[in-house]
Amino acid sequence: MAEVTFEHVEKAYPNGYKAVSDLNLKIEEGEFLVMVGPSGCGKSTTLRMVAGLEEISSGALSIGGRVVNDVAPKDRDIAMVFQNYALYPHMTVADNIGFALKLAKTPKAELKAKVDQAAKMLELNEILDRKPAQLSGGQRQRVAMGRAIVRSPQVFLLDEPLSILDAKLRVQMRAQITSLQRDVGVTTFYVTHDQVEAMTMADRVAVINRGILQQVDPPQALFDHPDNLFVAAFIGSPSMNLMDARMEEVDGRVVMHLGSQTVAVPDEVFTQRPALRKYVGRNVTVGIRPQDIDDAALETQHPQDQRLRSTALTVEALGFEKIVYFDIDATPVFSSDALDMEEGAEEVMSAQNTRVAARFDAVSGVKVGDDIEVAVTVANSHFFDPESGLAIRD
Amino acid sequence: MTATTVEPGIVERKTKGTRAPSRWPARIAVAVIAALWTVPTIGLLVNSLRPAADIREEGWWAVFPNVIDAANWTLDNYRAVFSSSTGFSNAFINSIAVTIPAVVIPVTIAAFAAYAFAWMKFPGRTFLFIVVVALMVVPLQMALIPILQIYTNFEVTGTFPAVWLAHAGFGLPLAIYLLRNYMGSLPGAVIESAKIDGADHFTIFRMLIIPLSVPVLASFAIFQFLWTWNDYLVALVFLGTESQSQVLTVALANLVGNRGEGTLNILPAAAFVVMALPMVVFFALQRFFVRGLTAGSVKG
Repeated sequence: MAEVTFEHVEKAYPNGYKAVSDLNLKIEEGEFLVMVGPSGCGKSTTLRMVAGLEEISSGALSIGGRVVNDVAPKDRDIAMVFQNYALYPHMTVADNIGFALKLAKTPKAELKAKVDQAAKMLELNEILDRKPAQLSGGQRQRVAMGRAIVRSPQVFLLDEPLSILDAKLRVQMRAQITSLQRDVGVTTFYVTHDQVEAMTMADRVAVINRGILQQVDPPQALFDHPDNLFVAAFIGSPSMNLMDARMEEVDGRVVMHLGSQTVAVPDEVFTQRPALRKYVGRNVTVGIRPQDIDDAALETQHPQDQRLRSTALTVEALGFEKIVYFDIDATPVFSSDALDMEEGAEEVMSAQNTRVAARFDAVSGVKVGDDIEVAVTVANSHFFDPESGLAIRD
Repeated sequence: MTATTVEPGIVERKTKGTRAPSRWPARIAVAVIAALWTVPTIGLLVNSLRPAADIREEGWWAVFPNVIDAANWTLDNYRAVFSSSTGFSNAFINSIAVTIPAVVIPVTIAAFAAYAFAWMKFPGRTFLFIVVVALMVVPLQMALIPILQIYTNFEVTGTFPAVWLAHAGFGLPLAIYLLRNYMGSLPGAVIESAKIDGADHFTIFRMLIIPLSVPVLASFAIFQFLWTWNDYLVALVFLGTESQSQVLTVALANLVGNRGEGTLNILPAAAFVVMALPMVVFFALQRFFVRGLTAGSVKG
């Protein structure tokens, strides 16, 4: 076990393209850190630099206090699980798991004991004699895991290990990997594009975009206090509703204009983030999570001045809740990066109107085409500087 | 396959074309070609088993009315082929002595080279590879005289190593090209995984690349075997026609040249002896032509 430290680590290609810029990050001993970002954001490059498969252009990368910039992969004492598993196709499951030990010239009896132990943990005992081609996707995934844990390395590196499994198996393996990691307690660096994986598995989540680290925090903190627009839009599903708002003081009370509609901004919003006072009379980007918008018909106690009116355009009944989409005429704000990942998002967003997603309670009787009134919990909103995209706090 | 991007008429024709009725012309064509190619060989086989007098008097098809008559068949021709006067037994051994190293040497060298070209990073890699591939353009015949001069200077003309080297050299460009392309298509993640597992280049080569490249190694080995076994020109130039060193093809040619008409009865048998080993090799190795050895390593 060891901690992994990135100090000003950069990856630049000969053509000048910077895949990773000035990365400073410390993965603590025994920690499960998930790096998440859209495709092409540099997360896999970062992982491959730790593995030694990609050269580090500048900066220092250390594992367990030792700078490993120029250390060969085999001498870094790491184990890696690849996206496509990369099993050795001509070897049996047992040989696959024991390959690294065999190369390390481990005595036969010890090798067999270790392989058996790993196989037992992953319930692979029955299929030790099979070849990878005879295994199901989930079994291959577990063999890849077995190959990693059998060596008891200092660091596990996992590169989107669940992305090619079907949805149901993915959820299952998610839990299995986290519990396995807790059992063996090895420092783990996990890379994924799936924010749900990141949120459910990680001790801490590192959000990265265009090679630049955006924020590193435990999942809940990341969700509750996104540092910038990108993190706000990326974490959470459906995404946070981001739109332009104008704050004004009317009769000693601050209100927020969302297009042609107006909601009151309660005082607690300002006590939590005094800096927001400076934005009164100016434009600000406001972010409202879908779960902070509910059917006003169910929330009769909700203050009258924190409500919006619109028409339900789409209703997705999920059984335990209803996702309702409606337009309001405020100018939408979106981090263009966040849009890259979801193709077709542009169709949903028109330039004039903001398509808002809301999570209604399942008992709500809203149907498509209904005129609706929604209750917005303004106190839970997020505020961002329209220029810099940074969260307004303090 | 979207109908919107293609003119409707074309789509219709295409779907019609892939339907069952169109199979038969292809099958008939294949059958005809196969028959045309096989009939002379069958004729040769039949003649090789007939008495000398019969061969001289009538064509091989004349045997068919009396196929079961034992008087029509004999193994004398084969006995004659292997009699010491023809030097065929010796030539058979020589052919094996030439062919086996002439296959093993280029396959071995090409495997190492192909791995380096595919998976090792070194300056000038692409340029060197292009040079190697470009060598395929050079006609063998053009190189014969210069090489013969060099061999004569080193006094190796007429020795087996001279022929091994020549065959290896002429076979290498294609071998490297084929093997590199195959090895390059092996999943990179598997090799990276092995690196992390603690393997160096030689271990990766020995434990992953070679086992996974068996199909291409076998295919090339078969090709190289057939070329060198059937080769007449290279062996004639570098090994000569001395009876103790001549190979089968040269011996066969001598059979015609030296004895003319008198050998008409043993020629078919001799030709079949020459063909025997390639057939054995082909059928023994053909199972390695299977594809999909990498199945299960990486998904998709």
